[in-house]
Amino acid sequence: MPNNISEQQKKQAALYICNALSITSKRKLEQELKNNSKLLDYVNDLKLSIEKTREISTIGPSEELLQGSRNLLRGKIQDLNNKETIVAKLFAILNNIKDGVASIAKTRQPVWAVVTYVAIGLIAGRMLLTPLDDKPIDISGQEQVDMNKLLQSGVLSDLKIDQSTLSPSSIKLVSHSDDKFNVSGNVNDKNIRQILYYLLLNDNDVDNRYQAGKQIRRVNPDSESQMVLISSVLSETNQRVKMQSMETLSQYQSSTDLINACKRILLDDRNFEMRLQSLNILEKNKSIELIPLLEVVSKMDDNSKVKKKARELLADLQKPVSIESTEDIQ
Amino acid sequence: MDKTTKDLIIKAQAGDTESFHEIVTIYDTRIMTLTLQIAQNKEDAEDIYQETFVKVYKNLSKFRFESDIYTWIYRIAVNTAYNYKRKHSKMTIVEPKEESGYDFLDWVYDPQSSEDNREELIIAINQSLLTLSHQQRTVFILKHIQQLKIKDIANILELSDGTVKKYLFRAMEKLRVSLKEYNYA
Repeated sequence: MPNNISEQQKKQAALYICNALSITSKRKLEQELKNNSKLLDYVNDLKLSIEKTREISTIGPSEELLQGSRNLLRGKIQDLNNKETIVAKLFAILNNIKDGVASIAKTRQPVWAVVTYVAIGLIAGRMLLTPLDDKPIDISGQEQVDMNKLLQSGVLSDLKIDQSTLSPSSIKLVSHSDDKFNVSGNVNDKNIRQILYYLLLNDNDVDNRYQAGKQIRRVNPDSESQMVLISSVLSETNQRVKMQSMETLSQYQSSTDLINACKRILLDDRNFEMRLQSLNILEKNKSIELIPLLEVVSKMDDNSKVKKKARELLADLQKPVSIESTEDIQ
Repeated sequence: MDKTTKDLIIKAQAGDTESFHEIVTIYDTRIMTLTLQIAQNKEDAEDIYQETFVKVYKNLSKFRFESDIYTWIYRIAVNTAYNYKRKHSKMTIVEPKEESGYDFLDWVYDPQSSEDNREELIIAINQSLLTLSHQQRTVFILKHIQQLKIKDIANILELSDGTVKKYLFRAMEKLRVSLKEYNYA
């Protein structure tokens, strides 16, 4: 009676258990099993190990895991729908911009491409582009600067805030490469605001972006500056610049775009201070729609401070309405 | 497919997000069970779950009722789990906890309520499954736990029947060796 099994027999035995042998091969193997005790043991071992694995692997997920995943999925789907809305809005803005602007944007670094579109969309807006000439650029005294002209001239790429002349009432922006270009005035002047927005979203120098963001804190809040800051917090790679934009946003009145941005930061941003700040903004705009998101964050966030804050907000939102307040409504 | 499910799908295809979440609730226990089996750890299983249902949401408009919705979601889940490894390295570096077994167990099983030898067996089985390559484990789970036919596994994973058989044999042989001492305990 043969008591050894070959590699080929082992393979045949495995396929036999998987019910993957032809009828002829199956009969042949069954015949062998009657005469080869080692092969029979091998088949039994295979069967037992599969049975045991099957037994423990069919244990289902806990209700807690499922509920957490469902809530997280809700947040993601909501975020997906919001992004589609924002993209649709941006496309609508971009459709108003001439082809020339798009060709300039293409030459920028890919990482900034999207941000450039946002910035140009916001800054250029409905601005009409004018033909270029070779004259030096001087925007002093102009009511509205031609941003396209400035972009093409390159002066915006090395523009700095002149710290020596900076005061609460005035700001001066100077170009290092073109001493004919400088602009001074108040941060709320339209031209200065637009250049600051451009620097915050597009400048290669981190410190320059930080300084621009610092000056934007002094700009009177409006929907345009809010969109620029939202673009900054969603796309900025430097934590210091991003955090500063977030802190500035916390001073703004809420809007759907701001709330959506905060939700996204809360789910995606790796910096816990950013997530904490977004909770602070959401706290000012509490609504029951936030409950699924807060449930996820309160259970699954990596940071204890964020978890605690989310729990507090959640408890606040889930508080039963008092009889007095119901009577007030009536 | 019953009428209620069909109505939910039609509503979800028309953009009703709540109907989509109802569909999720109907099928997600089975999908999470599958992703836990393939991933063998909670974090990866959750990621695969999320990725699967986001894909389902994005592609639901393409579902033409030619197959059962669960079969369709199931295929997306299996493919997502199978391809997850290419994008993430977490699956291969799962280390067992020193005392209480894998974190996978913390989520699907309460060791406190079980006898010690069963806990030991569960840990051994999970440890054995983790010694399999991602391909071997996926094919083994689909064949022996999910009980699919080799042809269907090959079809879903876009592999040849021969490759599926090769992965299966390797997986079964490794498990047999690892679990031999527990087989007659």
